[in-house]
Amino acid sequence: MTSDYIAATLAILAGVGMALLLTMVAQHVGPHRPTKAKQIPYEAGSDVIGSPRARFSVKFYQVAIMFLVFDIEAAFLYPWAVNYRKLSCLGPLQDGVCTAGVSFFGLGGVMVFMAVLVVALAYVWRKRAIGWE
Amino acid sequence: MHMWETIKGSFEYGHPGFTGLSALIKIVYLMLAFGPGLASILTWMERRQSSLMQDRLGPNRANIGRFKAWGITHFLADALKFMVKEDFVPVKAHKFLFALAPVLALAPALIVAAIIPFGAPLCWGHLTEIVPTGTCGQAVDLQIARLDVGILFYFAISSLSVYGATLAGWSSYNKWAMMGGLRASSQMMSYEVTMGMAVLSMFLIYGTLEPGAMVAQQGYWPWQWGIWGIPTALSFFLFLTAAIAETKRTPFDIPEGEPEIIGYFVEYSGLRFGMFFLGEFIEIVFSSALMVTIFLGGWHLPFLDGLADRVPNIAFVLITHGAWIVKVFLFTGFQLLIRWSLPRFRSDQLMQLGWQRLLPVSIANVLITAGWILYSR
Amino acid sequence: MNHDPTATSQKRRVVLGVRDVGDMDAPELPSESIPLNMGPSHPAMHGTVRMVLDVEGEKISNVDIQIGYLHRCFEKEAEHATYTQIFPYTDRLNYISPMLNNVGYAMAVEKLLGIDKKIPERAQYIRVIVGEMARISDHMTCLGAGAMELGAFTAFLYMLKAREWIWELLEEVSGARLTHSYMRIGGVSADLTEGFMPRLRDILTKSRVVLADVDKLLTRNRIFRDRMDGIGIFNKEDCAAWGVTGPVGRSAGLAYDVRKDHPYLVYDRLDFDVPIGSVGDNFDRYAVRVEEMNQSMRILEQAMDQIADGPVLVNDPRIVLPAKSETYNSIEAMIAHFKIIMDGIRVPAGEVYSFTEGGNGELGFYIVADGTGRPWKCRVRPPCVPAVALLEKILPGLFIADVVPTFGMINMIGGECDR
Repeated sequence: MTSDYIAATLAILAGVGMALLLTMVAQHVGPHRPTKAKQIPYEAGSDVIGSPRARFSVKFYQVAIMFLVFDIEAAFLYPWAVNYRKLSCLGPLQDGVCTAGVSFFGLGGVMVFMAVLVVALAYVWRKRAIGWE
Repeated sequence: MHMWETIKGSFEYGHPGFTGLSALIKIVYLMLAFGPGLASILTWMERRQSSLMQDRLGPNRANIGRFKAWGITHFLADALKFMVKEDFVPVKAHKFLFALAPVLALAPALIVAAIIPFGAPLCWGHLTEIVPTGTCGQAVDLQIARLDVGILFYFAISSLSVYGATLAGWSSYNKWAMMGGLRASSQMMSYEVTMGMAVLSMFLIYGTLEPGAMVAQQGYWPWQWGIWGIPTALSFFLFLTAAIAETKRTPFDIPEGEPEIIGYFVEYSGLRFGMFFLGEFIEIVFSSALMVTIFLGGWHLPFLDGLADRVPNIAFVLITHGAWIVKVFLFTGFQLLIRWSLPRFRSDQLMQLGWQRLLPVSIANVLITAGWILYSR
Repeated sequence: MNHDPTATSQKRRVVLGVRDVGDMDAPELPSESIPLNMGPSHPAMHGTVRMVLDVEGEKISNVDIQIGYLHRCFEKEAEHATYTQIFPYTDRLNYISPMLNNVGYAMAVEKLLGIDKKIPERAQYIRVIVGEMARISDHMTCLGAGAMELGAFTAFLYMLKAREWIWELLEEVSGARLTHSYMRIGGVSADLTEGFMPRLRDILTKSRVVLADVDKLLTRNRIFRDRMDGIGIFNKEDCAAWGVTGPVGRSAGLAYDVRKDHPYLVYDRLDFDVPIGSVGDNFDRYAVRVEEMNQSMRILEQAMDQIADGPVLVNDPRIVLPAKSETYNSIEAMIAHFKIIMDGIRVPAGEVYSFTEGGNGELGFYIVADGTGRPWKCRVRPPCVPAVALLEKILPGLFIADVVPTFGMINMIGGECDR
């Protein structure tokens, strides 16, 4: 319903608004007395060596790619899950109950999809992209 | 005159003003009062509960005059301390992103509350009458937004909080923070995959993504709840594990890992740090609320089957809302309990647990559930 | 600049060559290593030590350990203090088991004086008892802190609770909770208090319960084992070459315990086992310490059974202060008191190396005396320095997160390491 989307938008505005309000409080209520020593990045009490903007390990990037692949595939499965009962019924549903015979279309289809997913996971596993080995 | 019409309309069911006003009231109550309020109490409760487990006193001194109540006002003292502390920004930090990160950590944690049903529907205009279930023509859902995408909205919004951690790490211009941000992002992304997969078998069973409809499908008795059943119980444990990992708490507190890398918020002070802190606890509250919704019967109260046919609508709504609060509270307490009992994983072990154990099991669980639904037909 | 693009590209082609696409185990892309300061002010670096790590992602490629942040000139200070005045300094060496330092130092001076065989038996037993209590408290602190750094905060507080019982009893005996200075050259400063034995027996019973609880929390905990097993392996040869002793050396299979191999005090009359590890990883160090606590409890029980009444200080007015009543009432005693306090105990010229089993291994004192009341040189062999030095060899190849349990199980104590 449209009104629910309006409510969701209001909720988003309220959440962001609350966070912004707290940020403003943080900026204006607390004191500001910066000193030179205070502004050095804290690196366990020593002078900073090197820059934090150095290139970091590609492993983190791998995780990001894996996330994109698997999370999007999971998102594709959501509509399937919601319509699973409909897909598993040979005829139309009557008040959510299937009166006709059982169809294996829903299960079979997702089996193929999952097989691809599992192959991808096995590949990633075998490639040792998980963890730091 | 037009203004007056709008105000008057706000009390008439079905009027746009009424819809807006009721949404606002629900937002203020759930998102701005209940969530942060319970989260604040949890910050105290965590310390107090751990102190009981560890045979020490814990924070028991804070008081307002005579009012002490085991030091529960400690969270107010905390809030005050956060506010009056120096708001410190490192000179080399990226100023805008540094300010944005805590907003991104706190706001999504609050917004996800929008889809959570927190009580039985209110029957506007018949509050003092007995209204049997499903006979009300002017129902006001105790749920901010009844979206068809429901849980997807939750995942979409909650995954934004990963930006909070990552940007905090990057913008601080500190290597330890950077490390924490990287760890946080890889951990949260990995466990989001598991989380999404684990809950998929529940969608198969419910056939909907809408939390309100899920609660409606569950009954009063515990064996009518989502958790009852082998695939769903497995789904519950997988989801619980992933949810704890999402909130970055022990044993999954790798991004903070107090004695290891100090955390992505190492350069934050005062209220900005408080926002990360509060955000984490609000996440606990609402992830508990989500699990209560999906697995533990939502606002259904055991032993009171058919209560709606006996008491006035307003009493029924308040009782169910109370039941929901108790469930959420107990569940958050359970989450706190885990924290003090276990050591922490190492980052690679964490990734392996997520990708090589939980993910394959949850994929198998989805297929088993799908097959089971066909078999039980 | 003479820059020929074709030359570069040709060179690059030579470097890359033909890649074997089918190789699944191809080495990963090299990344830049980032230098990272860990310490001195870092929660895992208790005892203020600085590690400069070179990290590639999460892996450590190189490590440079810098000690000395807790340097307090113990050895130089000792040259300006009388032999008795050094006791308070020794308390601050290994500050989680000060009694053992007291014992070690007292024995070194006694050896130099040639009275090491004349120490009254009761004093020797008391030294064993308080020393073993200190060893238990040392290991409890080490294991508890190690567990806490891995996130198991409850185990830490359980351990500290038990440690507190021990420290309370030591406070009752010595008057100070931590800085005991309980030993004297020639014995101990005071006899055990009344009711010491029953209280100690009670503490041992209660501590066993605590240790069993911690055992339940940690030993079979999957996460704890994953963090400890096979991490930070010290091998026996390295330990021998570096001079690593104590629980760390023993966990690597180096069966050396001063109490067993060079018995001192009354250890030869007590029956105890020396636990030896087989792998030398963090879990072995944990297990060795747990077992050593059990053995220390056995020692304590035997010592409590065997101890007999008697004096607790040698009867030698040149070494031991006269009793207070005599100091106030007789001129000879007052002069003796004055001489010992102002000039110190006259130790004949010579040098000595005396070693005992401290909390972390062989704790040695090398003292050169020049005939005055103050040592000419007092050098400590701190048991944890070799282990810390060996870390530079162990840590590369491990994860940043592995630094925490590995460093924790070394039990590096800043006071002892930097002196």
